[in-house]
Amino acid sequence: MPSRNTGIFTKGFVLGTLVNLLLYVNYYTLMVVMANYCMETYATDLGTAGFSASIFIVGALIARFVSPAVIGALGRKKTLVLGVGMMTVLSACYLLNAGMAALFCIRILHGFFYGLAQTTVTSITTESIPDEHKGEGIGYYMLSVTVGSAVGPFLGTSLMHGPGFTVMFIVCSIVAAAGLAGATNVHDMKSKAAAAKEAREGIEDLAVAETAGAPDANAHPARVSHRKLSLSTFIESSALPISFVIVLVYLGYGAVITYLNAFAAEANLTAAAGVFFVAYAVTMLVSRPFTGKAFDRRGDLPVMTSGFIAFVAGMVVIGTSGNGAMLLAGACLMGYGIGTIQPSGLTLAVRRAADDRFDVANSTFFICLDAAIGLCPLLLGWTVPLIGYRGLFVLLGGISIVAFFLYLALRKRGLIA
Amino acid sequence: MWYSKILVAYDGSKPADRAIEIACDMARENPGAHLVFAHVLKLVDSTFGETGMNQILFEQARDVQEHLEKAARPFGERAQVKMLKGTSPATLLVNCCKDEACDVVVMGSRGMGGVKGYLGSVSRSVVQEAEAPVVIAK
Repeated sequence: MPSRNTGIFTKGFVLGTLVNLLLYVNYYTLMVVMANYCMETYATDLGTAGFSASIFIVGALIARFVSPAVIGALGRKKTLVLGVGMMTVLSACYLLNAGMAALFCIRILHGFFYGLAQTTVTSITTESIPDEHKGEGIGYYMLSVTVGSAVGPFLGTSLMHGPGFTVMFIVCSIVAAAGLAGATNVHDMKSKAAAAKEAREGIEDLAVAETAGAPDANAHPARVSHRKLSLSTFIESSALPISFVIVLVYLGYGAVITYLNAFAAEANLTAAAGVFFVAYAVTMLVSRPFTGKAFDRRGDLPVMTSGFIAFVAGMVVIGTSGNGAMLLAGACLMGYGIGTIQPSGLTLAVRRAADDRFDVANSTFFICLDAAIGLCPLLLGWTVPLIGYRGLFVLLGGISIVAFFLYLALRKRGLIA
Repeated sequence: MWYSKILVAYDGSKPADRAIEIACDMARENPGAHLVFAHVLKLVDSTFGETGMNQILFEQARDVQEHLEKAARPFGERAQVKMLKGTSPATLLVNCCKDEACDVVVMGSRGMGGVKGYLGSVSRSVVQEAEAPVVIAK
């Protein structure tokens, strides 16, 4: 294991990883309780309440498009401090209780600055990892994503059912403020001038390519993270079939993350709901190394099949759960399912693309994934008054069966693998 | 010559650079031999949505790809560069060897984080699992 001072665990790496962890805690704490907050505070309908949660993702998605321009103008350190600083301010703004319109504005801006901060801290922190320890360092860094995504929902649910929403918003503001304190001390190894120059060169290259009408406007995808907004920059057509399959699956994930607490309150399963995402994350962590190796050895079909079976079963178990143990069993099944389908889908999307387009394929895949989470409440929230939360989760299990057969059909046509 | 197609596994380490030298020497000695330069791009998956990590890895992989294309250039159509995407480098390399019908694999003794004097885990796995002989460069 490399030594703390000369290997991976430099001050910059530790700080950057902690900042990322705090960003995810802030994001997930609010994400899982926002629908409950809206329904209890403003008596909104389910679709609106759900969208108030997921509109955050829409903001984050917009941020990924414009972050190159912002980084080019400000440099990475200032962009990070701006992002986390605004997250702190916006987290406090929830305390204003200023109505639904204001809440939507706060949520989308919160998501936007989160997206800005998160991509920037990832870029700064991974650059601080020595080349010879890159893989290991990235693994440690990604733990902050997994831990934050498990701790956040636990914190949100506990605070919501305990001291209440006001304390929860205060805690979120403190978490963001702690992230800001860390962000101001993060050292960006790349100077502002160098980062701005790289961003400008990327934008100029693209402008020249597009002006010339060159069909390979994406000829320098290495600079895609610093490129100007353009649909073709972020959408790779060969990745769309598998991405569409993922959209159908992630509607299920989106529904769970948005409505789990509301469902749990109704079904008297709040204790289990608090640790749902912990069980989900642990299952994923444990199963991932095995399913990844199996995918490389045996191909996508057996691995995806097992993932779909688990995910469908998980949605049905969640929808029919009568006690905490069943709910957590559903969490584990869903964790295995998503933990298998998503990485496999991503690999399939990237593999199908030409070598100079695989980063665009990656973007396409995640745009579809984020869009599914973001739009799920708008698309499906209206069904809850008709069929209940249980009916919604079971319905989404059924939609996932359709997704599986779609995957098989597209695969047979050679559009996926 | 006992080989006609050489798989060169590259991960950016010094032993991997030596592996490229050895493989290129082998290809020069045998004008009929083909070269397949392969680099494994280990994707970072996040089921919690986009983290921006893969974009960073793709940018770094671009430098590797350019390095391999430069090594392949003198051999013209006899050489190709492949970027393998997945999670298990050893398995991907073994699969590539089989798919490309390579009859020898040349790779470094250890990766970027490896300990000098010890065979890295990926190299060890490839030695154990590949159907073709494996030349280890130190």
